[in-house]
This record gives sequence, structure tokens and C-alpha cells, in this order.
Amino acid sequence: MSTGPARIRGAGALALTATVADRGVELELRVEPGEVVAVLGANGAGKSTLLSLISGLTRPDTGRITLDGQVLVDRDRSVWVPPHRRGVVLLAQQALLFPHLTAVANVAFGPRSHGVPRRDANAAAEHWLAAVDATEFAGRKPAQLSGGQAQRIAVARALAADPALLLLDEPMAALDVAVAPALRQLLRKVLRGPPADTARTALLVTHDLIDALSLADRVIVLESGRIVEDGPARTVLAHPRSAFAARIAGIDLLAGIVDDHGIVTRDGLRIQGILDPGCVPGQHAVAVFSPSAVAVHLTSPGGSPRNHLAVTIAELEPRGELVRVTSADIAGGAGGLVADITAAAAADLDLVPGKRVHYAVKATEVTIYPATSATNRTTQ
Amino acid sequence: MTTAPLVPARRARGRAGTGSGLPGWVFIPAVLGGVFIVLPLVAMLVRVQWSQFWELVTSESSVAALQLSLRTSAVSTLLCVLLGAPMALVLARARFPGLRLARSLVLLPLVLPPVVGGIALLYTFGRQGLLGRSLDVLGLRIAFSTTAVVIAQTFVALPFLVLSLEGSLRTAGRRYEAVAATLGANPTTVLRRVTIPLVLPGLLSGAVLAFARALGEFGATLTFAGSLQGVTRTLPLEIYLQRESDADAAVALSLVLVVVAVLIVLATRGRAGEGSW
Repeated sequence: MSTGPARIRGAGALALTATVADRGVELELRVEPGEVVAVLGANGAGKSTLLSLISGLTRPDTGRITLDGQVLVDRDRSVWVPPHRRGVVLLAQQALLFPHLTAVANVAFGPRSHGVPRRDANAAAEHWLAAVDATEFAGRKPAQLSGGQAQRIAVARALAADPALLLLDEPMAALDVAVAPALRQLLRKVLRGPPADTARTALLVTHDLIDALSLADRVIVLESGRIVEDGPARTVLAHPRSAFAARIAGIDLLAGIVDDHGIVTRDGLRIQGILDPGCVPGQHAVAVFSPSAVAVHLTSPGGSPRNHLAVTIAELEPRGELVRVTSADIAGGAGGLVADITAAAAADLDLVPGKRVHYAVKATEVTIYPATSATNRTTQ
Repeated sequence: MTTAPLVPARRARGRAGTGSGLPGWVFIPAVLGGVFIVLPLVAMLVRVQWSQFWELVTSESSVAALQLSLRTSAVSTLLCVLLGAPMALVLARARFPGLRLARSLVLLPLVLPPVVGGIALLYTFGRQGLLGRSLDVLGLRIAFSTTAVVIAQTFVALPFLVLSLEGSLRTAGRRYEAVAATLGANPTTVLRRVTIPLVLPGLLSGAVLAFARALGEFGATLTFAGSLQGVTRTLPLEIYLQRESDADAAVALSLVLVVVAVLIVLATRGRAGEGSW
């Protein structure tokens, strides 16, 4: 059922280079046809700017964006394609269904705007409502729908517009914890197929590790307006090179410069560990370790093949049998460093926020691998 | 959107201030103000000669004035919508240097004494006026015609529509418009299928306000259009004229305007009450 301008469904391939000076954004990104890319990053890292650059709601200061070989933006040649002719649909946190239209009229809005006759547009709308299991809500106004129902219809509306590229901006963030899994499953179905007619190119902004792992082929991590990581979801999360990816993967990370048996952080702190063969002395690298490998002491325990870190406790959080100890931010770290210790140990040590303690990590528990300079720059 | 919170508010009003969270003394000046508004209307009602009422309001000059008022106000309201809606859209959505100045200028007829507005219009469209001279050459004479009445009413009523609609547009925000654009709707489609339906309550209440202002227009009309029976003598002018000779007729006609005004208020509060004003 073709509802939009003629193009190969799901074959959108995106190439983007763009800078926006007043938001400190400088991005370069390629997305292959049919690929789903998760965009991770802290608030203000530039995720929303990336989406609004592609959808045409923000103009880059310099750069060029092409989709399916069509130039959307080229500042050098003054090319500017307005949002409605880009074939890029944005699905946001809020469903933003048009409140004065019924669900089916909302879904038919895209096809109607592309000049599809009313009858065909309604048929397409019903097809997509069925695809998201929302046929029963066809005649309802948005005010009569729950958040989860509205978001499902918003998914149908986005797909009915037959986008070459689908942009998803934390589509699950505003939903109840109880209904988010159902929508995730739906998105998986519509993004990945089968049926194959629904698989399509998409960018998915998310804060959620599960979204990245279950929906995306590839993960990019933004920090301070730059892409600092780019790779398959599992690789990025297993071997994070950026503070943000480390945090969402639940791993401790310190960045520094490679020396003989480890790295030296910006503050001169030496971290020893198992060096990845790719590490070159003098180059940037990150040291990562699991929170469960960290022991907490009140005084410096001494003894060699251990790394010692003097920290201030910022937060204590019970997690079943364990207590998660989060330190105050330290230079070169991914915010605070996290240690998981037993509840008994936490009680013996009489830990409270604000207390000075020593973290000890065996060198054999620390993995050190190369990182980009951007990672170091942004974590300092 | 506002209906849900309104219900408890109404209940609270029934219990005279309990649970309002306001200090009790606030109700004294508030009630005084209410009396100040209602009392003159009561005084007028008391003064109405009911035995002659029908005769007075159906006299030839009264009917002519009422018809002229309704006709000109309807045309003025239409003009206000045709000119004011695009103005509100530009003020609420466009970005250009001098936007603040433009917004202040639009409000000018609202704060200008109507008689000053009438003089200004006279020097624009009058025979010796800025545009009037050229129009005179074309054989068009606007001053002291029914057209002049419509122009005067439109001039004073336009800000009401622009203000009301601009407020609605700002409240509605641009998010839905952005969504519509990414779904493939061109700017005209977005305006027709999203923006206007979303602000329709504001547009309606703005139109009703503009109609009410046009209906009550006096100073600018008298200055710019004069007072010719059946041509430019609208109901307010007729009332003012009758007051000199036949006070009873003036009161009876005033009551007609009061009834029309009350109907307008009820219509806006009832139907377009969700608007922003």
C-alpha cells in the first residue's frame, strides 16, 4: 500500500555533517538503509538538536544533509528543503495527536497531506491502526485515549506518512512503566519487521539501555555536541569509552593518558590494569572496572598490585543484599565512581554521605583500552 | 480544558467565600464593584415605560437604526476576521525586526479616544484626506456614508480580534504545527487543518468581542460618518439623539442594546468560553 511519494520503502540512507555554533554542536553521521541507530547522551548533549537538524526544525550554521541521495540541506549551495518535503517523521515523547481529529483522521493526516484521496488515505489509516492493534480506537478523539493508546496511534500516524527516515525522540519516556514494554515490542515489530514492509531506517533517542539493546543495530553516544562513540550496541555497552555510556552500562570509567602499566589521569592519579594491545604510551585511553571489583576501606590499605583512590561518599543506595556506594565526582571519571559492597561491610564501616574513604581495585580487575581524545576532553 | 477545575470553583462560590483561600475583607470591595456594575442597569430597567416599550422600539427611526447597526457590525466583524486573523498569525508566529513596535501599533485603536480615531479616519478617507483625494477622483466618496460606519467600526474593533486570537495562538504553541509539517503538510495545509481548528474558540470569542465593540461604537462613527437616518445613524447614535427629545425612547432602545450585549456575553462564555480571554 503506497501512500507517499514514490520511493523504496525503508531504503533511506542518511549522511549528515552539521555545526550549530550557538548550541556548540558539531556532528558527522552516516546511517545505512534500513539501519536503526540508538542515540544516547546526557541532557543537553545535542540529541534533540541532531533530530531537529534532520527534520528541518533547526538550520545548521554549516553542513550538508542528504537522505536517499536527495540533498536536504547544503549551506554552501544554499539548499534548504522545508520539513514537509523531507520524508522525515518525528515521533516525540508526547503523542501530540491533533486534539480536534479522531484517531483515524490523525493517522490519515500524513497521506492526506501528500495528496492521497480521502478514501485511500482512510484505508491506509485503517491498515496502520490495525498494525498497531488500535483498530478499536479509530473513532475516538485523543482526549478519550490513555497515554499508551495515544502513543500507539502516534506510531501508526508516523508510519502512515511513509517516512524515508523515522526519528524517535524518547518515545517511551512519558509512558507508564506498565505500558512501556508493550510499546517497545510494537516499535520492535514496526522497525525490524517482519513483515518486511515495516522495517525501516530510524534514529532512536533514548536514555534506556534496554531500548538501545533491543531496538538498535548501532549505538552512537553524544557528549557536548560531538559523537564520542559509534558502534554496535553490545560493543559500546561492553567496552564504553565515554562517561555516559559507562554510566548507563553500570561500569566505572576513568580517562587518562597511557603510561607503562596503566594510565595517568589529568590529576596525576595512576591507575594500573590490563592494557589492551592497542594502547600506545602517550595516547588517550580509558580504564574500566566493575563496581563489584571495588573494595571500600576507611584507611589506605597499602599493598601493591592494587589501585587506591581517595574519594568522598556522595550517596548510599541499598540494592538487595548489596549497598551501592557512589562517590562524589572525580576528575577524569564518569561522574562519581560506584562500588558495590555487602550490607554487612557497609554497616561495619559506618558509611555515611560526606565521609572520606578509600576505594581499592585490583589491577587484574581493571581493563584499559584506547579512547578518542574527545572522551578525555569532555570528561575533564 | 478549563471545565474540570471550574466545577469546584462554582461550588465554592455558593458557600460565600469559604474555602476560597482569600481573606474575608476582599469580598467587600468585590461585592461593591459588582453592585457598581449592576445598579445602573437596574436603574434603567426601573425607568423603562413598559406600556409604550414596543411602540418605542418599533418606530421607523428605531428599526432603521437597529437594522443599520446589525448590518454594519456584521460586515465589520467579517472584515475584522479577514484582516485580523492574518495579523494575529503574523504577530504570534513570524519573527521580524520591529515586531514589538507592530504589536503596540495594533493596540493603538484600543487606547485611542474613539473621537480621535474618527478624526484620523476623516483625514485619511475624507474628501481632503490622504487617500480620500485619490478616491474622490475615482468617484468614491467614503466619509458620511454607510461605508464610513463600517470603516469606523472595523478600526475600533480590530484590536479585540487580534488580541484574542494572538493569545490563543500563543497558548496553542507550535508543537502540533511542527508535527503536521514533518508528516508532510505544506504551510497552507498546516494552517487550514491544524492551526485554525486549534484556535477556533479564540477566533470565535475574538469575533464576538469585535462584534460587540462594533455594535457599541459611537465617537468615531459620529465624527467620521455623521448621523443620517438609515445611512449612518446606528443605534448608539439614535439613542443619543432621542435622549435630547424623548428620554423614554432612549431608555427603551438602550434596553435593546443591553439585551443584545447580554446575549453576546452568554454566547461567548457558553460556546467559546474555552478561549483565552
